[in-house]
Formats: sequence, C-alpha cells, structure tokens
Amino acid sequence: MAPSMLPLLVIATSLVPAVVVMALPEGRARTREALTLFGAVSKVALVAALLVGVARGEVYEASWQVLPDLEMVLRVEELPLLFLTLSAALWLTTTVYALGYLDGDRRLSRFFGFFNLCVTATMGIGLAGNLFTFLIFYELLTVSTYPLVVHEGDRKALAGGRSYLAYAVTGGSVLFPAMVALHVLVGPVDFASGGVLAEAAAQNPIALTGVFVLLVVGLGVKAALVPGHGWLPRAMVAPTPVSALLHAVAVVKAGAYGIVRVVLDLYGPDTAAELGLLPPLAALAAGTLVFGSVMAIRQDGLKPRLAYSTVAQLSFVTLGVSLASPVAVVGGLVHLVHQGLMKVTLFYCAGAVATELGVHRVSELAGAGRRMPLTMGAFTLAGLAMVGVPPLAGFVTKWHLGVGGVLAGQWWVPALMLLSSLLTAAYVLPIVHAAWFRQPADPWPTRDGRREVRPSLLWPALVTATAVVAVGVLADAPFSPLSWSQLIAQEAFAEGAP
Amino acid sequence: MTVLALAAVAVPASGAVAALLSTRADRALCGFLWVASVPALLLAVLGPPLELAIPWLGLGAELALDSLARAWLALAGTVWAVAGLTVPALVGDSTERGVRFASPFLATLAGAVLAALAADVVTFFIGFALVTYAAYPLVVHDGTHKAVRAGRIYLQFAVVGEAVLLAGLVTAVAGTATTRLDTLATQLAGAPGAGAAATLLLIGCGVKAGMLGVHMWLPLAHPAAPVPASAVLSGAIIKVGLLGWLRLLPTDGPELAGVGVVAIVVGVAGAFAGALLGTTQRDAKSLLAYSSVSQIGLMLTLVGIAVITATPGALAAAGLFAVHHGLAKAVLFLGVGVAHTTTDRLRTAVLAGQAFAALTLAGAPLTSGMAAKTVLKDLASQLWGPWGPVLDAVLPWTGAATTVLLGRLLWIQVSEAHAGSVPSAGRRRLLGGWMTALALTAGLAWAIGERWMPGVSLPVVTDVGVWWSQGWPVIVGLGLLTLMLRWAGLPSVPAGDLLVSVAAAHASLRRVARVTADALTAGLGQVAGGLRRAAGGTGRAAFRAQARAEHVLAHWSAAGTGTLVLLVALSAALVVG
Repeated sequence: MAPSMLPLLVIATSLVPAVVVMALPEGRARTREALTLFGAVSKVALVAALLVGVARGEVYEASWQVLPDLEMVLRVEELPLLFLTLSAALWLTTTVYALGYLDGDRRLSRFFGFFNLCVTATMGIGLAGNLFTFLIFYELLTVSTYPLVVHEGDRKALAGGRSYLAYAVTGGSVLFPAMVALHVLVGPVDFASGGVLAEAAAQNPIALTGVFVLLVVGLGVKAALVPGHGWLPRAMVAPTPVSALLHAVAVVKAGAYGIVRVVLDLYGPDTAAELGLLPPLAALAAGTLVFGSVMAIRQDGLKPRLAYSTVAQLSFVTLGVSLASPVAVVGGLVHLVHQGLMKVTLFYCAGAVATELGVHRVSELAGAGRRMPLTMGAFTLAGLAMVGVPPLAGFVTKWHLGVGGVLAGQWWVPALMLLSSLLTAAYVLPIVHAAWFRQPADPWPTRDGRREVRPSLLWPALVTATAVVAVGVLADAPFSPLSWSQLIAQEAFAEGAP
Repeated sequence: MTVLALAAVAVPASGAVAALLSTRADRALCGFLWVASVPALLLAVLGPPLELAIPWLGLGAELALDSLARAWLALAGTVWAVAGLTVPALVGDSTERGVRFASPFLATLAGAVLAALAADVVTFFIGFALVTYAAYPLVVHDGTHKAVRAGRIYLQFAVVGEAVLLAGLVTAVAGTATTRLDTLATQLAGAPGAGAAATLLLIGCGVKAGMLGVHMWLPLAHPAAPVPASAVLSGAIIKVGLLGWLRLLPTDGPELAGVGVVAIVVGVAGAFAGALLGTTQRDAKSLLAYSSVSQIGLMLTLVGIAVITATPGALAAAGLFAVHHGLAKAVLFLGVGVAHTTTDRLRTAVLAGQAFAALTLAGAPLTSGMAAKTVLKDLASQLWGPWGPVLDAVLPWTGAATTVLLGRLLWIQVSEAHAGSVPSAGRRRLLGGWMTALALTAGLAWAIGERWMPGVSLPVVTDVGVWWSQGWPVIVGLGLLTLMLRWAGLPSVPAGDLLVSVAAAHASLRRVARVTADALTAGLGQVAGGLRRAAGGTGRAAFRAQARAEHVLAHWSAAGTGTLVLLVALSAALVVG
C-alpha cells in the first residue's frame, strides 16, 4: 500500500461506518455495533502502525488540489500523532461505554452514525496539514456533534444544543476571515514544525498579530477559554458518553490542539514570542484556569462540576505553549493526553454512578464508594491525578509547567500551579471524601447481589484509570506521552531557532 | 542488595494493595502487619552503601542508601513493626475494620521508606505524597464526628503543604538545573530564586513535620487516629517532613543564613509553645501530640544550625534525634493503649515504662535523650555571634518544660480508669510490641550513634558533668510540676489552639460580612430585582449556586484562612530575616 493511502485510511475507518450506520434501520443493532467497534479497533491498530513508522522517520502524506492555490493536505507527523493516538484510543473505550450506556435507547442509528462522523472530523483535524484542511474538519465537527448533544430531544437538550451551536458557529466564522487574510498576506502555507511565518512576521507584524488574535478567538471558543466557555456547562445535557467525548477528545481538545498548532507549527514559538503574542495568551490561560476552578467549586451537580473543571484543566495546554520555554511546551503538549485520560475517567465514573444509583449531585454521593468500590476507585485515582498527586498523570504536567515557567523567568507560574492544586483539591477531594468516608442516609441497595455497575460501563473506566497511573509511573519510557511530547518540543525549538 | 532495597518499598506497597482488594476480614493479614517492615530493617542493618537508578520509572527514579537513609529506615522499620504488632489488639483483626486499617497503614510505610531511600527530588516527593494521602484514612478511621473533623482539617493542611512543597521543589530544580538531592542541597544557596525556594521548602515540609505556626492539624489528627496509627504518625510520619528539611534545605554558603536563623527561632519557640499548650490538655493523646510539636521544634533548631554552619555533623545529629524521639514517642503512644487494656497489677509496670520513656524525652542521664540533647547543645554553643550563648542558656529549659509536660501525662494516666480487657490472642503481641519499643528506646540511639552517623560525637556515658547538666532541668521540671499540681488550677486550651480562635474570628467576620451584604441587598433590592427579572432563570440559578458555594466554602475556609495568614506571616518573617 502506498504510504499516502494511510492517512486516508485513518479517515475511512470511521467515515465508512458513519455512512453505513446512518443508513441502517433501527432494528439492526448487531450490525451497527459490530461495524462501529470494527472501525474503532482497526483505527487503533492503524494509528499504532503509524506511531512505529513515524518513530522510524517515515512520512505519510496525502494531498490533492481543491482550487488552484488551495490544497487539502493530510499529513502524519509527531504532533498530529499525539492527538490521533489519544483520540483513537479513547474513542475505542468510549464506543464500548456508549454501547453499554445507551443500550435500549431509541434512535441509535442516528446516534452512532453521527458518533462515527464526529470521530472522522476529529481525525481530520488531527491530520490537517494546513489551515484550510483544519477549518473544513473543524466545521464538520461542529455539525456532527450537534445531533449528539441534543440526543435526548427534550426542551433542555434543545436549548443546550442551541447554545452550543451559537458559540461554535460564531467561533468558526471568525476563523474563516483569519484564514483568508493569511492566504492573502503570505499565500498558501502548510503547518511545519518550528513555524513558517518568521519572514512574513518581520515584514508585516501588525497584520499577522491581527490574524493571530482572530485565530485564538475562533479556536478559543472550542477550547473553552474564558469568555468563550459558556456553551460547555450547558452542553452537559448530552448523554454521558458524549460529554466524555466532548471534554476529553473531540471538541474542546480540537480547540486546544488548534491553538497548539497555530503557536508551534504556524507561527512558531520564537516568532510568536517576538511578536509579543505569548504573554497575553498566557494571561488568558491563567485567568481561565482560576475562573474555571472557582466555578467548579460552586457546582453541586457532578457533571457541571466536571464541566467547569475541564475549562480549568484545558487551559494548562494553552498555558504550556504560551510560556516560550521548551520544558513548559512539553508540559502543555503532554497535558493534551493527560487531561483526556483523567477527564474521560471521571466522566465514565460519573455516568456509571448516575446509571447505577441515580445520583447526579455531589451532595448525594455519600457512601457510593462502598457500594461501587471499583468505579469510585477509578474516580479517586483520576481525581487525585488532577490535583497533581505524584506520580500520577497531572503531576507530570504540573512539574513541567512549573519548571518550564521558572526557566523562562516567569516566576508566577509555580504560584499559579500552587493555587491550581489547592482549587482542584477543593472541588475534587470533597467528592472523594463523601464517596468513601460519609455514611449514606439509607444503605445503597445492591442490584441482584451485585455491587458494581455493568461491565460495559466499568471496564472503560478501569482501563483509562490504569492509563492515568501508567503515564505517570512510566513517564520516561519510550512511546510514553511525555517522551513523545519531548520529541515534538525538541523539533519545534530546534527548527525555529536561527 | 538491590533486591532488598526494592523489597523494602515493594513489600509494604503490595501488602497495601492486597489489603485494599481483600473484601473479607482477613485475620492473617492483620496479624502479620509487622512483617512488612522486615526488609527495611534488614536493609538498614546489612545493606552496604548503595546507589540505584531506574530510568524508566517515573521521571527517572534514583535510590541511595546513605547514613540519613539508614537512620530513617531503622526508625520507620521499628516504629511500624512495633505498632503493627499492636494492631490486632487495638484495632481488631476479626472485623472489616482491621482490614480497612491495614491498607493505609502499609501504604504509609511504603511511602516513608521510599522517601528515605530517594536520591532524586521527584522520587522523594512521590514518597512524601504517598505518606500524606495514605495517612488520611488512618486519621478518619474511627468514623466519629471528631475523627472526620480532624481528617478534614488534616487534609486541608496537607494539601496546602503539598502544593507549597511542589512550588518550592519546582523553583529549586529550575534554579539549580539538577534533580539530584545531594547536588540540589549544595547548589541551591547560589541559585536564582534560592530565598523563595528555601522559604517554600521550609513551610512545605513544615506542615508535615508539625512546625510551630502550621502545626494546628497535628494535635487534632494524631489523637483522632487509633493508637497504632497515632504511634506511626507522631513517631515516624512527621519525621518525613524533617527528612525533607535535611535533604532539601541548602547546607552550603552564607547567603541563606537568614533561613537558618528563622528555623532556629521558630524551632525554639515551638519547643516551649508545644510544651506549654500540651500541659493544658486533658486527654493523654492530645498531650502527646503537643509534645511532638515541642520536640520537632528542637529538631528544627538542628536544621537551622545545619543551614547556618554547614556542618555535616548537624544533619547527622538531627538523624540521631529523630530516631531517639521516634522510638520514645512510639512507646508513649502505644503505652496509652496498653494501659487502657491491662489489669491493675500490670498497669504499675506499664506506667513505670511510660515514666522511663518520659525521662528519655526529657533528656535524663543515661537515656538516649542525654545523647541527643548533649549533641544538640554542643552544636548550638558553637554558633557565631550571640546565638551560641543564647541557645546555651535557653536549651536546657526545654528539658524542664518536657518534664512538666510528660509528668502531667503520667498524672492523667494514673488517674484514668482502665477501659476493659482485650482478647488474649492479641494481648501477647500488644505487650510484646510495646516492650520491644521500650527496649529499643533505651539502646538503639546509643548503638547507632557514632557508628551510623559520622560527624556525631556522643557524650561519654559515665561523665558525671553531663549527668548534672542533663539532670538539673529534670529536677527543676519535677519541682515545677509539684508546685503546679498542688496549687494551680490548669487552664484548658482546646486541641488545635490557634485554629479554634481563627475559626471564631472567621465566624464573626462572616457575620459582619453577612450583615453588610444584607444591608447592601436591601438598598439595591429594587435594582437587583429588576436585573434578576431581566436575567430570568439564569439569575436565580446564579443565586442558588452562590448559596451552595457558601455552604461548601463554610466548611473549607476556616482552616484554610488560618493557614494562609500564618504562611504570609512566616514569609514576611523570612524576608526580613
């Protein structure tokens, strides 16, 4: 097979199931499940093969002319692979979870059709080799997630969906002029490690600053940077697997990944620093971090609390790439993966508790740990990881951000990490405490003598919780998210240097 | 020996996991908790000096067995072993409770051993954090209202301490460009941001150690835990904080002498304040917890001397002091449990043992306290300027204060009725554990002294001059105690001291805030009403969220505020110093 086919195959493994599943009649559950799972598993295998290939130095690229001067480019490199691996892996676990969670629901062909279309868009965003391709898939993502958000179909769901659409479309519409402006200013440019706009920035700093601002505003809506975060808590009306996906892999992650690509691969960290774009971006991220954490403390609803926590946690990624230090960039990049693992685990567990015990609020969680020890064990691990307890995932991130901040002369970064740890502890630890150490008003009834949720909801959480531990304990092993991020940061700074 | 070093961590860690996964009451597990500390003890006694790198683990783990590590392994191994022996009798082995106790008990041991063996910053922090978080289930084990409150306050302090320590570590590592503990300590003094890093490290480890000013959780948490947990908490776990000071604070270069001076001042103040506050306690375990605050003050004084003078002997002396105090404190805590559960005839013997451990802590002649305190005084008297003579004059009085404090403990214990008897199976191990600790208290510090801790010169046991200099504070203390018990009624300070007054101040502040807010709301009622109507449901939701947030914050902020105020005060003191 030609190497250029591989990126297309990554897209096809979800696009084909999407189209077929959507056409399936509702009753063909077996076919629908088999096809979706087959697509997810083969995608993981494919991405694993790509990882090995890229580590050996091979390049996979597919491109074709859309208009003169305008190309669709899908390219597999180190940074895209970080995103692809996370998405493919969590998509598989979320597929298993969604099949279990929605078992017996109606309109499943529509759901899983768009579910697969959503992963297609995410893969496209990951692979996009230039801004144009990125934008196409970015809009496809908006369109394909809307039916998932409003899946329940009641008034609340529709209102949440409307809000999501309003924010996402506005954000997307800001990106379009930014792309056009860039095209007019510098012609067609592909993403490349270390940035491609150094010369253009020297000639036309003001215009490129404007373009950067537009790009960050457009991407910041999906990345939930304040004040573009408003849709996120409202989109919580979606079924839990969708929330998990939105928060860990697809939508917010696409926004954060977009910001990473703009800073590292379009402008380049050095050029962005010279234009003076990074300090305001860092300030925005820091503000979002504090705001999201404080709002999370105020929520009693389990899912809203997790939603605001996403707002806070995701800003680590933006903060990392905006500190102009290789070590901090490593922290930001690795958090793309770590935040996904931690947050997806928390959502799986929240959904499991809601399904099994009917609990949606933190204040009702007393004693849930005794009733569902494995689920709440996974929740506890992921929660402690978010607080930054070593050697779990979140600690690796905070360590690199803190050290990177000091190395870049930004002394406030360790203080911000300190504050973030305290605030995170304030919204996570009460949940853990209630689950394990508080007595429930009435003992939770067991279901058929069983103390846990059904396996399809339990195992995805256990797998991702194990990953939360593994990426911390084996942080320096080859192919770990940390090692891979170090590789990316090395290239971005080596090639950007004069 | 590599295998032994790994086993010292892995055996308790896997025991903790096994206990966590075991769903039924497991008698064997609870009966053999002491076995988990055997590898650590063997390593301490038999292990040759050792360096070990495991690059794929964490951010590149490095372990080393040096003299401090050896002392800490011996301390942790003994304290966990003797406390483990008492678990069946004092916690229970036939119920789910025993199994629930076993897992965090072993996990804290694994963390303490890992912290002792760590040669790089991240591995040390992993061990430190494991101890911190695994200790929480120990504190709330009893599930009573008191224990849950103590646990909440413990966790608030612990999380703040961890976060401060992480900030300090990050700053120090970025400044010195090394993650190895030995190079970090020698290079920090000249590195950029050294003052800030050292301050953060002093406070971050201080929370765990029970340093005066951030100690308020300790007199609540240690007594709330079951007796074997109190013994490891007060005997060994606070020493992980001390180890952090010894490993991380700069010991080279005069730039950071200010930090050393602050450490000495806070340490000596803590030694007296802990004893004073402890004397007012009515509960034996709270009193012992304050005694730990007092003793850790003396060890902090040694840390300060090490920072100022860069004498390796000061570090070794702190190690010796830690072993001495840890064992004696384990005897005293376990003795409270033992005395509760024995018949009258044995009680006299138990109280005699308690009296011996008390005299040891006071530094009476021939005890390990004589060794530890003489070494402290010798080092202190060599300090420059006025510090040497001042400490020379002040330090003996800590012996008198300790005598008063622990005399009061014996008084409480004598007047207490015993609670009942234990099943005979657990009883033998209970007495065995306590007596082992008592025997080691008498001998271990003398035995390891100069052999394991190079740079320490112990006093000659038969030197009558030392007998006198160590003896008179005890005699003065006994005299004060007699006067106090005969004539003075004791005031009673609630355990947690400052925390309680901070909570009261906070409550009145909240009342003022609420009255102000009510007034404002009344004034702006019209406007707010209009706005609220305009904002519709969103506004109401926001108000409800506000109310809920207040509810949450009310539980979290009292202790938090207190801590922050103290941290600010301490930082200010450091900047000035």
